[in-house]
Amino acid sequence: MSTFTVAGLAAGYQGHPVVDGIDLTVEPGEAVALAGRNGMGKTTTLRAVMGLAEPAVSAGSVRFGDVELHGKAPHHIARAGIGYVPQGRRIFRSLTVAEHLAVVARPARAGYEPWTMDRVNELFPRLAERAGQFAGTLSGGEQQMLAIARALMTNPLLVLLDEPSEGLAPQIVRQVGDIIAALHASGVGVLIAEQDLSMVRRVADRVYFLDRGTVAAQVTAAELDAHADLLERHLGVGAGHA
Amino acid sequence: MNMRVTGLVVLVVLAVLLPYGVGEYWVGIATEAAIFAIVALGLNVLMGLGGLVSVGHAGLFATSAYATSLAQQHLDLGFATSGLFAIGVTIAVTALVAALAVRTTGMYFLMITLAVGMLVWGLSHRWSSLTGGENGSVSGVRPAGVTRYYQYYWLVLGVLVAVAVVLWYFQRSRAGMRIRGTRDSAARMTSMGYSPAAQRFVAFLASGTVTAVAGVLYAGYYPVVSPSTAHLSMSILFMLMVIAGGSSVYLGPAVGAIVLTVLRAAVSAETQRWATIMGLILVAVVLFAPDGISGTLRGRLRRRTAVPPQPAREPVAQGAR
Repeated sequence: MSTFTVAGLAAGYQGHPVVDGIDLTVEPGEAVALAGRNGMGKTTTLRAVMGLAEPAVSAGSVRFGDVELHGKAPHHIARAGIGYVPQGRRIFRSLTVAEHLAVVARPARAGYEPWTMDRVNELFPRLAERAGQFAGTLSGGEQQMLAIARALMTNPLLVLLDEPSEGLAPQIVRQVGDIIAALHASGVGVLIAEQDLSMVRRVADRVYFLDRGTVAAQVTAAELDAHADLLERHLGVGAGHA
Repeated sequence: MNMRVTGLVVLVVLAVLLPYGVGEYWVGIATEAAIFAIVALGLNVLMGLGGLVSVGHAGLFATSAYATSLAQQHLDLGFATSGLFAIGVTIAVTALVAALAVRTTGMYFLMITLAVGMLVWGLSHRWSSLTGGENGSVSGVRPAGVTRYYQYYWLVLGVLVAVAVVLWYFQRSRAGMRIRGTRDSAARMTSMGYSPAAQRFVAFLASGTVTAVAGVLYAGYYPVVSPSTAHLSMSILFMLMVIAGGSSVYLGPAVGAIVLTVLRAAVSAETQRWATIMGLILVAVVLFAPDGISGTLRGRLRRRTAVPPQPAREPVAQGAR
């Protein structure tokens, strides 16, 4: 994997800028969190990186190694090695679990252990049990796991995850966190938008705090505890609860 | 063999035996119904699998029927070679239309297919030196050994069964799954690395190819291919067959085609008001059986046997989300 670099990214909806001048990097195999409250531009940043129809990107560059991704269609960006797990799961309702995984499967990149149906089933035993079930009938946690598993089947070098903890029970959040940590440990890069501190602690090596569409601060995971002010301001976590 | 397959085999055997039970007129109607069933199954690759509504399929159907007839007359080709020629021509036309249409969904997609249907109809009408205009183009060539009405019926029935089997595997193939995924959400599909336009193109091409096969059979069935084959009302009829039969049940569109063709034959014998009756049928289907005949029957059966239902499918026509 090459270094993933976002520089000066500005994007918004219908002429209203939401993020302005985002700079961030993800080193090969690193796990980076974009933390911040609702409406600070986490989802907009990930969607803009992915090249999705909304938001409209007005400036900036998104590079994966030497390759400029900005301006390319989302399917070209995905093929460059970026997996995307959208907010709210977003599974295909009329496909079964097994079909979800088969339909997006792509060959692995040279030098990386391929994500195959067997390997994904090992990481997600719950999904293996439900292979023949329609995805729309899964629980929220299972749908989140399926969305992650689906992204892995494209054999990405970097996975973008948009608030994977959203709407899940604390116990399920822990399970999802374990899975993200496991795929990070396997060498896949991770860029996760998240406002759940436990998830951020569990998976991230480094954290960017987003505030009103710009990067307000950047710390390593080890430094998190020393910055109670940042946690208070950007995640609403009081020092006593951190 | 499970119950469903056994039931289908019994139905096919009964269909094969039909000429022993009814006269030439009804075997003719059954032949037409089987040809339309092929069109409806092909159209459902777009409508049911792809979530894209076409009101121009009569244009593709007529392109194939005219190409068959013209190849027989001007190139002196036999049934099989003219058929292959016509399928090739129709695939080329479909590819052209699809290339224009697949970047859109919903109303815009509908308008492009409508335009194509109207264009073929206009050409068949106006380019009379080639198409024979209102008089139509002479057709009705059948392969040697299949010239009698019941023999031709068996041929058409065989092709219908073959098309149904091939499309069954197609919709379960990776290409079919990708088309379903694109229908569910184009945005999700594109962020997984697959261009939604490419998936829609494949769906359109598969749909057009099956429609072309039906067009060839139609040219062998009718002695004349006329502009009415390409008319908008024909496209609407095909669409109605899919809706009335039920696009969410695999063989639903074929059921719709058979029911509407037989009904049209029965009603036309009594009154000129087939169009009115068809309109009333559409209203009744939309009000009382929105999942179509097959979908509603399946729902009743499921409730009675208390098998947990599959999740509801999303509506046929929808844009990218």
